[in-house]
Amino acid sequence: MTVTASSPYLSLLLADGRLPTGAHTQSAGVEPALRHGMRVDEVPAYLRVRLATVTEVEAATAVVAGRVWAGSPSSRDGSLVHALTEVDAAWRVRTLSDALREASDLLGRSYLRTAGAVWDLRPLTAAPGPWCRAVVVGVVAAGAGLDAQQTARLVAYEDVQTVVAAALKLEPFDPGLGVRWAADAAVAVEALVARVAEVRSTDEIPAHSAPLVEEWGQHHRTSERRLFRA
Amino acid sequence: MTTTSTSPAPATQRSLRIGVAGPVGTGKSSLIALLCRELGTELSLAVVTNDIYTDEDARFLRSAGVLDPERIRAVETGACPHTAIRDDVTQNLLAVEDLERDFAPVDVVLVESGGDNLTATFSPALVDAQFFVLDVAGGGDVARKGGPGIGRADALVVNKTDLAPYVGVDVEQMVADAEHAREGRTVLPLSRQDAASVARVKAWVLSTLETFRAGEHVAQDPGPMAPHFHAETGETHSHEHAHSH
Repeated sequence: MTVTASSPYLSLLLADGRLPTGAHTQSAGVEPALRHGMRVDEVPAYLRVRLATVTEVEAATAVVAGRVWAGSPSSRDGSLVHALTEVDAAWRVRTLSDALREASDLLGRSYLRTAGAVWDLRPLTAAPGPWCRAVVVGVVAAGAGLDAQQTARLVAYEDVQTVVAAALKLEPFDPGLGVRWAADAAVAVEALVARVAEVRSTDEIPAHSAPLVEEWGQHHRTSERRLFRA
Repeated sequence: MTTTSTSPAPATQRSLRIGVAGPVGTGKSSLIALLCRELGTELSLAVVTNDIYTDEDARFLRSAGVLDPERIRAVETGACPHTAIRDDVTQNLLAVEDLERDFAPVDVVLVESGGDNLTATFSPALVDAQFFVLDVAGGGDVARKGGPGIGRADALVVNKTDLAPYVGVDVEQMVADAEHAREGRTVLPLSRQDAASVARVKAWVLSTLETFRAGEHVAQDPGPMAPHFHAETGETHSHEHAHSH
């Protein structure tokens, strides 16, 4: 992948929480975590766990999807869709909770809907799907000219901000503290970026899991009076 | 990177999408239940709810037994009911499109906003037309105070008129205030116990559907701001001013 001149700017655009993709409906699992007894001052630890496990899987998947997309600029056809389907399946088998897979599919759809209206993302937009969010983000990022590092950082950053923003809504605290947590997460984010930037194939996507995150996500689907989808 | 413009499907080939906005407790869910009851046999309907506490409204509607529960879906709004109907409507659009696909052909999809405040109105990117619901128990002066939904929603419902004697509200005055604030746009006083009022609401939906299908309906944005209001004169107008105040 070659970094284009506009990619730093587009990277900010894609990372902005104001991007209309329905992300405001998500808590990256922090709502069920808080409901199951996690204290709000444990959010930084929660972020580290995610960045070391599920978010790393997500970021690596996005990186591979981006490579597939960027690697076939002249053959935007069925073979490209087939290759992306394999990447999607690789993420799916690494995500035990069907509730979390469904939440990701929904986000993937809304992300693709927004990005597909801006950029030419055929044949992905024409393929039936569902596509997990990681594959969609990877393709959109590659289309915007982001390289593997930028793509991984985008996925990780968005995860961090989703957690912090949702925690602020659920159990309000000094928002400056939330910004500090997000800033402090830079160390773990950059470590994640370094781990996944060289991932080139589905075989190399790590298979970490965070059983509690998945279990809580599973419970959340049937919990009443929730504010966030997942 | 190449860009592409996507044009929405021709309006007449999809369902009419009607939003129902208004403050908490004014009877949005009841209005939807009423419409399902009144129109459910002649039209193919579906409902998307946006309750702040997910599911509450969807469960109310399912338990009301007025529509196949499968045709009622809840969308979480992450405590952002305003955003979900206005500046980031994607999750609601996906829910609407899913219902249209799963139950094709659907004539009307009703989208209920999470009860927000007087400023929350639907984006034309999500709905073709919208109700704004007030009730007499909220006070007779609310209609006069105005707001974007009160002033410019396609139809303003003044609900629970049967309660007026108990809450000391003059319904005729409230409706007249609303009509004045709305510069002639539709005002629909409603009581579930008043069959004529129910028939008028039903007729409004059917006539909007007819206009929509004829390709003559143009979605209007009530706007994020209240129509201009002159406190000193009580005059309301929404036209552009060349002069400043």
